[in-house]
Amino acid sequence: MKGARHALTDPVDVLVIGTGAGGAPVLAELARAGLKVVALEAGPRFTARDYTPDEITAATFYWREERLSAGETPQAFGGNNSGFGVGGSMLHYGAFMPRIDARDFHLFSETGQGVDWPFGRDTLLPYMERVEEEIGVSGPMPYPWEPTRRFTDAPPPRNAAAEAMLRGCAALGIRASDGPAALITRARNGRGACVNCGACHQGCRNGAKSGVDNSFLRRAEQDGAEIRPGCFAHGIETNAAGRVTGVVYRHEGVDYRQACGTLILAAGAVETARLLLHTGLANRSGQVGRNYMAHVSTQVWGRLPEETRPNKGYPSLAITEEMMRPADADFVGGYLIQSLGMMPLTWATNVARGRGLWGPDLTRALAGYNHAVGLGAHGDCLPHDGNRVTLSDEPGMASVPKPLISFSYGANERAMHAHAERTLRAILAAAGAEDIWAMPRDAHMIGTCRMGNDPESSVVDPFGRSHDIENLWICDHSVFPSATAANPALAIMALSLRMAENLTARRGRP
Amino acid sequence: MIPESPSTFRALLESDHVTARTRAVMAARAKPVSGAPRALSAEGLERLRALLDGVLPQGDLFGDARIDLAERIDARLAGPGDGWRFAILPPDAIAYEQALATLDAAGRDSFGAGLPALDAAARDRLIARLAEGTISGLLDGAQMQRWFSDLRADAVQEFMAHPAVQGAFGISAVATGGDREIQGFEEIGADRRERWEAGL
Ligand SMILES: Cc1cc2nc3c(=O)[nH]c(=O)nc-3n(C[C@H](O)[C@H](O)[C@H](O)COP(=O)(O)OP(=O)(O)OC[C@H]3O[C@@H](n4cnc5c(N)ncnc54)[C@H](O)[C@@H]3O)c2cc1C
Ligand code: SF4
Repeated sequence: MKGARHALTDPVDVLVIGTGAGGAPVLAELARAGLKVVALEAGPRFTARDYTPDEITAATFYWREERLSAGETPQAFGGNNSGFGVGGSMLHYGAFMPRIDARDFHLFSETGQGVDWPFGRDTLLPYMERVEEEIGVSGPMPYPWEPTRRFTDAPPPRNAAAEAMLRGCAALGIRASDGPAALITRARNGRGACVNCGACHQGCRNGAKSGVDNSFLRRAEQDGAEIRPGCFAHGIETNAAGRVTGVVYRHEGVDYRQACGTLILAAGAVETARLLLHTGLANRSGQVGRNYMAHVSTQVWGRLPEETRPNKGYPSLAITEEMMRPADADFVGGYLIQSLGMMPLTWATNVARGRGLWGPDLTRALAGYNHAVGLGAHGDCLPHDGNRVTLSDEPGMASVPKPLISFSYGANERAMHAHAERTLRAILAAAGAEDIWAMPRDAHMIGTCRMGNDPESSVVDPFGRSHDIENLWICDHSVFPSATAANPALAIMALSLRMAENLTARRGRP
Repeated sequence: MIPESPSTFRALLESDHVTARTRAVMAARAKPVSGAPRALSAEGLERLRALLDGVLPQGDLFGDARIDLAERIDARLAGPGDGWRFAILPPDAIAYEQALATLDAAGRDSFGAGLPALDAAARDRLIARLAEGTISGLLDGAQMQRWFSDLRADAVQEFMAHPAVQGAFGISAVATGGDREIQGFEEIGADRRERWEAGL
């Protein structure tokens, strides 16, 4: 392959598929440890300065190959779809960076529902701290729900939505605050300070938003890792002993094979499952593709008399963690609340799908953009039997069948959504909003290759190594045993650092 | 006639708060698309135009001028796609063609005329039934409802992306910063505008 630095037949120590939240940190750590590492990335390499806030054009970094969405509450992917490019979904993610609540690691022990993680928050905490330090996370100190949490940067200014949420929460006696945002407000390391442009989901042009492209991947390449963009992995080769020996990938229409000593799948919860189902590997448990989850991401919107200009400022600054275990809950687990600014097309799409309007009412609603104010929830989701990723019978890229994603809310998700809708409506009303409407919504692609101690009920061990294949590891959102309420990127990156440590330690040992 | 954006918005597009790339994207979008229909049949495009007049009416937003949302959606259907579809629907372009044919047939059944020939009242009654899920034919009621959700999403995206609409609504989202300097926004919070947002 043109431009490849490592000969394809010459096995690299470790091959990583995917360069998002899961793939990037482990790549950087292994490169630093002196291993010969290569990452294959299906999407292109972008130049941050060329990003445009135009939402239609910015769709180039969404996963564009068709996914089939089924179930009673099928997920509307579009702009919420995973990413495609060097940096993965973190190119267009929202940079909201809460830590997982300690209770969410043990939901089963607490409630008898869901599953426990094979370890608790203390295990992950040192790795989360390392991630935060390396990428840069802004926030208020002391942070109300964890006074010992340190931030590298002070919070950016509050936009109209953050002001409204804080005002509404104060009126109702709900503690709320500026939240943890993965961006820097002091320029350093060739990255600019946040300029409040509001286009985080269209890509940060000055490097203020903390992604993996401007942190772990940069370091990985400095330490000798090779990243190959435009390379879609579609085959995994094994030897008679069942070990992985290499990967087949397609680049500009031509197939190549890269030999490797160890393989790490970090293609995201949909694509990792798809690749394993397609190759039939690592699935003795029959669990690959199962336990698919998505956050309960209810949104509530209203109209303020003041001008809000929702495109301005870091979009989701305010947070409250007071609903993590609400006293009047008729569900297990909990949810976080964040304030919402939003770019116009994304917002209009929510109006279109969520409000059921048409005719002059629809046009009028859209004309109100500059007064719109929103709040969003992110809540835990239980695994259900029917919720899973399978292969459809339609061929996709490189003839790999397109993935079919079935997702339906269960009773717990419905109850949580109803509670969140009530709470968000009350906060917005207390903030002075009118014409309030709500939309059920879900976000993120979670599960499909659960980690655990039991090879019967999980796909990988608590460090991410396949129970079946000794030199195959998985490091992305697919390994989460439960969804937890927190936005996921921090924990995915932390798991990636932890895996790197374990992988280096176990190398050479069976 | 195609609508123009107000002069204040054109001045913003020309300013150093917008990059050359974004400016070019907006300039291209201000022009009608060529080569329609690309994905739909000529009949399908006609039906879509008639339907969109009822679903997302432009009223007197631009005087007599109109953004032809139908041809923009047709162009989008011929493009790379947006990464997903409802599994109960066929691929996007086919779903559009079949849904529009289903509506057209329902129009003939109930009101004696296909979509493009219906008067506004009959068209709106048809849309109300579409929203309720009581129109079926090539697609069933549930499929038609899902498709209606897709249609509205596509329509509002093409609408809000248009410079004339952003100008009319005073939206500053394109002005995140220029090529030389990425200025962003300084006036953050309710009822605060940058000096250069004053006329929007
Ligand atoms: C719109 C949006 C907003 C979000 N906001 C937040 C937020 O505010 N806070 C937060 O914590 N999280 C947020 N997230 C979630 C977060 O970005 C993801 O959970 C996280 O990036 C997932 O990491 P991952 O490693 O599983 O996959 P990804 O980051 O998606 O990376 C997977 C990579 O693998 C590549 N790939 C896939 N298949 C192949 C293949 N076969 N061959 C080669 N390469 C392949 C993909 O192109 C992609 O680059 C958001 C996500 C989205 C979509
Ligand atoms: S708001 Fe800040 S972090 Fe987000 S894209 Fe703009 S400059 Fe980057």
